[in-house]
Amino acid sequence: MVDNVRAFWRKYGFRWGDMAIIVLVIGLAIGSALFFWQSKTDALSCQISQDGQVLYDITLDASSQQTITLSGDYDGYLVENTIQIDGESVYFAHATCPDQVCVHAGVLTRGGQIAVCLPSRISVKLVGSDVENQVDAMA
Amino acid sequence: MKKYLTCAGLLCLFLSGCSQQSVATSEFYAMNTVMSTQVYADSQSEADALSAAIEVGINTLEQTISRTRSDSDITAINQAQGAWVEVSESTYAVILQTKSYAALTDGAFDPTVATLTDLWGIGTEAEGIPAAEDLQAALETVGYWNIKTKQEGESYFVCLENGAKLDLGGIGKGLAANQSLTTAQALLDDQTTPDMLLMLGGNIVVSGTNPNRESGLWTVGIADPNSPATAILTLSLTDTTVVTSGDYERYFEQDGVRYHHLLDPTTGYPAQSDLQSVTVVHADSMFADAMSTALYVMGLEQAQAFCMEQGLQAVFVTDDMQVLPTASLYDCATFVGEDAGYTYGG
Repeated sequence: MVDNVRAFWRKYGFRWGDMAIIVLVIGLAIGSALFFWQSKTDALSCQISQDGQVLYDITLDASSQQTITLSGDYDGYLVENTIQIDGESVYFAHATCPDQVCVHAGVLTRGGQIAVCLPSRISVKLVGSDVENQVDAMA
Repeated sequence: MKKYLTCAGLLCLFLSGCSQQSVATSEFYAMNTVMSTQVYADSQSEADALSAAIEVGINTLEQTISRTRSDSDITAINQAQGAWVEVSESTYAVILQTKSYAALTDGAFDPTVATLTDLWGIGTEAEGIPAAEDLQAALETVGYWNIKTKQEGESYFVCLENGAKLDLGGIGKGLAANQSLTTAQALLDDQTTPDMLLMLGGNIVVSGTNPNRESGLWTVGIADPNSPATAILTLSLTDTTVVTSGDYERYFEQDGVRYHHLLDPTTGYPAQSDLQSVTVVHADSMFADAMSTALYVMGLEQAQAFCMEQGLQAVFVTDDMQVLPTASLYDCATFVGEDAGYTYGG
């Protein structure tokens, strides 16, 4: 086996320096693959936006606990929304909007999930966490 | 020489692994819903330009098809009291299309339900159950056959008979989806399929390659009507659009009864369907938009027969918690609704 490898190297005129370069390139390729793989399995985070502007980007873990109250103007009426972060779950706990669609959206627990309050133009989105196993969009 | 070629090959392999597309994301409000876009391109400037063009195009379209703006073609037609109104070629084409969808579905989808929609006011401060006599009066104005069109040379005219009013809200987001694809393709010289994901309310556009998945496909979740942020079925797709109509999207409840926004043009009331939602998968998003509404109004049995007859791809979620895709969708579908109490297939 070793003789075969040596014969191959001699046949194509490789030197030890060439081998070092090849090992370096392969090492870099494996290293970058691991880097990108790890970056795709980041922790779950919660993005809360209003009018398309991200107001909060919160990394979630089992101990996360936060209550966020936001308000928006809806045809002259003040709409208040209470967003509850409970560990790796997020939901609209309360809203004074007329349609209550945001509250009915339920509890967000997985990347790709989104809940929106149209009257106050607030969206809550979960991102990150195992891209391969989350949905890209909900219909 | 060969050793240098080998090294160069390995280097190319490494560099190709590193190549990443630039992405432009945006979230904005239009057509009474939240819209978000993810557009991928070789450079950031190209992705940003595509994303901006899509957003501008949708905002412009909203003004064109709005029935609340005083300067739109639709407002002019609705206020003309039966007189002929000259409209743009694009508005004319859209009205012809919607009329054809209404005829195809025998009125289950009807763009002249505006008077009914206004009476119910679902999703607004004024929502409530209309008086029976008001509903009856409104019903007499509903009917796609009341839409009359004519072309004289390069001029296009529309009029509405019997007091009918047009509302293109039922296909607005689908039209926006189609227009966005056309815009992106035009900017890419019509040669390349844009890599992008558009979420226009419940209208999803998946196009080109998803750079975040090995398969290159996009995963679209079909919402659980009882908990809409959670998927009960996922579809792995590309180069198509996915549109859902469901009774959970906009509604109010009174005395324990849910009154939703999918009105039956024959009764004037929210459709008494045995479905919770219908999702249509079709390359033409405006068509899918109209069909999802029509299939919901038809109810399961008639809707399944219609899909079979028309070769439509759809997913039905029934009142008794069944998730029923049409046969051709099984290959790209994954059922994930077991924990929520749903059963799959029929």
